[in-house]
Amino acid sequence: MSTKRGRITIDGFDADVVEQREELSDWSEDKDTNLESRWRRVAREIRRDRLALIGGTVVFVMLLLAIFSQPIKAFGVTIQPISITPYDPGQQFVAGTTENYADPSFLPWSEGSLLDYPFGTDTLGRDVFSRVMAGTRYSVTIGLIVTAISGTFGVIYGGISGYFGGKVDGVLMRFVDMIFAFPGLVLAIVILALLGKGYWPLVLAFTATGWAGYARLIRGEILKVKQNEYVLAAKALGARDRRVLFRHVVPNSIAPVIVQATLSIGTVVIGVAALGFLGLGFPPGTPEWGTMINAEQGTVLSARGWVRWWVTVFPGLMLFLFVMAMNMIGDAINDALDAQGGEGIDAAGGGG
Amino acid sequence: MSRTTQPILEVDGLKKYYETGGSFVDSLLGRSNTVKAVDGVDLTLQPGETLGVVGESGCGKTTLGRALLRLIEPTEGSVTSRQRNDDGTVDELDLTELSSSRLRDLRTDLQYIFQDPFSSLNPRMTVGDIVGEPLDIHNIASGEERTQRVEELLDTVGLNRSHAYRYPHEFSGGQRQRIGIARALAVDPEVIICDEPVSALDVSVQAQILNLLSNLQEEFDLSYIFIAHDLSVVEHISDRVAVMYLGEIAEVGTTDELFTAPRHPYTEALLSVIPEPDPGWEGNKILLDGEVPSAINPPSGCRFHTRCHRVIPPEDLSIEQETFRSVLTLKLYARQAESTTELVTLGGTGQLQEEYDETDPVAVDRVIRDTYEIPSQLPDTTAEETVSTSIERLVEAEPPAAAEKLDEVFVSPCEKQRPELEQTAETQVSCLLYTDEYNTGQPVVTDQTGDAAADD
Ligand code: SF4
Repeated sequence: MSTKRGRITIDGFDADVVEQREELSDWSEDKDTNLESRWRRVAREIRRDRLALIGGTVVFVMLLLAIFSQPIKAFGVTIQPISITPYDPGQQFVAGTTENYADPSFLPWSEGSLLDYPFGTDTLGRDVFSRVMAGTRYSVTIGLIVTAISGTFGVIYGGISGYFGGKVDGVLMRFVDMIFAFPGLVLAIVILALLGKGYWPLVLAFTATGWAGYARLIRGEILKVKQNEYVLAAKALGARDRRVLFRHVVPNSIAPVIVQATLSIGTVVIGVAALGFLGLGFPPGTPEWGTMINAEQGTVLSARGWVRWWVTVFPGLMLFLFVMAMNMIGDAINDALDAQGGEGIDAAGGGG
Repeated sequence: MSRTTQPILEVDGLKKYYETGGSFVDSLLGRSNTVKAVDGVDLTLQPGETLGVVGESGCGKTTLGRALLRLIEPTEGSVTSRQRNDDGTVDELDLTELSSSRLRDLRTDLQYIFQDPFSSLNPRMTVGDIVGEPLDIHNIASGEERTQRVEELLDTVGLNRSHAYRYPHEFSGGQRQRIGIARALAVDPEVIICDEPVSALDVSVQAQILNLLSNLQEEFDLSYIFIAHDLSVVEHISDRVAVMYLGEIAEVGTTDELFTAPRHPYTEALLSVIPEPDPGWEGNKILLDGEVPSAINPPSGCRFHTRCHRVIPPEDLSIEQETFRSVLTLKLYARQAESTTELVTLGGTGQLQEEYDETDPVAVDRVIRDTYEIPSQLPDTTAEETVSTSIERLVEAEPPAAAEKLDEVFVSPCEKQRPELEQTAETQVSCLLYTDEYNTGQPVVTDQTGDAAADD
């Protein structure tokens, strides 16, 4: 027995065997098929989801409608000449005359076939089918634009707030709290009251209220992500804050924002329609779905108003279709991202 | 190791304090506490040297490593980096004073390898981008040249060139650590701080990574600060070792000196628990009591006195050192305990205590002396009196009252006096036992190897 150390040494430390035995990994070239990026994997997941496919198709068709329903002019030059609506959405009395429409029981199909006016005509004799098609240009694009702008702004704002933390975070987030203190729609109405009706005022009104949600969402996520050592590693390499934030932190915290954004496109569209219905969104006569329903309120509420049920049902149906489709896509994205939530860690296991 | 060149990195009085309970209201009410994660550390790193920094978790070694590179801002102190220019002149820069853009430039000389190979690589970037990022940041290479450099680096660390197009999650821990090393090497650094680079890895892989690190050191003439939580890892790769305890350096010395003749009781304890493969070996394992105290309000005097097995008894007390240690432990626990039962549990060895009557002074006396291994009769009369009165107080009042009583007599100089890092014949030690006042002339700790002759 001895208290002396080192009488027996185990020479494992720099034995060549250890070095030679090294197995670099358990994959071989033939397992080398999985090189696709994360977003491509997400896209594949989504394509497997039937509901998402249906939703995607609906949204795609509506986008086509938004582009091709009416010619597009920019600065007086026509850049998209195709017009697939059967009538101009503003054209009145496409079937019948003023006198015909004074009679509540007048049906636009009295002279032509059902296909001439598949969705009927409204109080002013405008073709509802043409109008709901043209309406995509308002509702759908506003939804997309508002979400894109408020999402981008919110991500930058919340990103800066969460990344720098401390006092910056305190100040920036109190401002977000202030925005949240107003009921969203009310704030939008105030902005519209100040700026007047129209497309861009609506975009502004919804962006002004919408970005705060993204800011808060990504900030929370960033607080988690910035704990990761790769953030510190980037700093140790001498990366500037902008690079660290947008190359390392944001890409790792963006997933919930994308889900949120897809789901909220529908919400914005409904909001626009709600304002339209209240008569606050677009000037009367604009073929925006909510505004159309608002214009026909009188018809539906009048005696025998139910006869012309189509004047409100079709715009409402379009609204429903779009929001539903958007939500199905949003859910699919959510699932697809969730499915790979643990990506990275559990795929590799420890050691080795 | 007799290098007489100037150190490449010199740390002087480095401190890092954190405020806890940091909300605005807390600080208004003065409720916040200061965590002294690193409290006045001096170190030097010679060119081409590996300095091991060892300590239990929570001793501030990672904070030290990060504050060194200003990955977290140090509270106080300076870090001087000396870079040799091509023409032989030496640039001396104090990292703590540098502007952030100068600091960014300096990052090409000082690099860091992280502990956790899973969280230190961005999961959304390919390995090529991870390793190539420093090249982009410092405009070292781009395009074809960048690709080539990345592949070279992967080669250097023993990975396959084709790995550049894969994502980190496709790799094992050891491989990921190699990627992290390649990333640190990309800027061609002089100094790399390795923060427990192998502690997250399987034992078999640890050796490979350690080998890689020491090969790279030779190849690129690197200096390492190697942080680890156990001595056995640093033994093989360090030229010198610094032992940290609660934000301070307890002992620094060459690996040889430190392993054969540890001077600080803490080092001695750490060394004694390194497993020995020799079945005939019967070295004394020194098991330290309790856990590392919190860095919020760290112990007064010598920070190790709450656990030190060599804590110095007061001069006027003729009492065995071991007994003194027991009474001191009783005192320290009594300060925080809320009831006698808690006191018994804290000091207990974990086995169930027999039932006893908490109101019976005799029973309490017996149980307390049993759990704290205090003899039933102390030779010194004042000592005996104090202990028995304080135990009586346990019955009448709360444990803190008993602690107060013990405080009248049982106070170690270690509690009051803060030792400085001082040079002994071998290592630099921060322990009162080696100051003139308490030095008995002989090294207190005998050599592990048993050949005490070397010490004379
Ligand atoms: S100063 Fe006292 S308590 Fe500290 S290590 Fe030395 S003997 Fe132990």
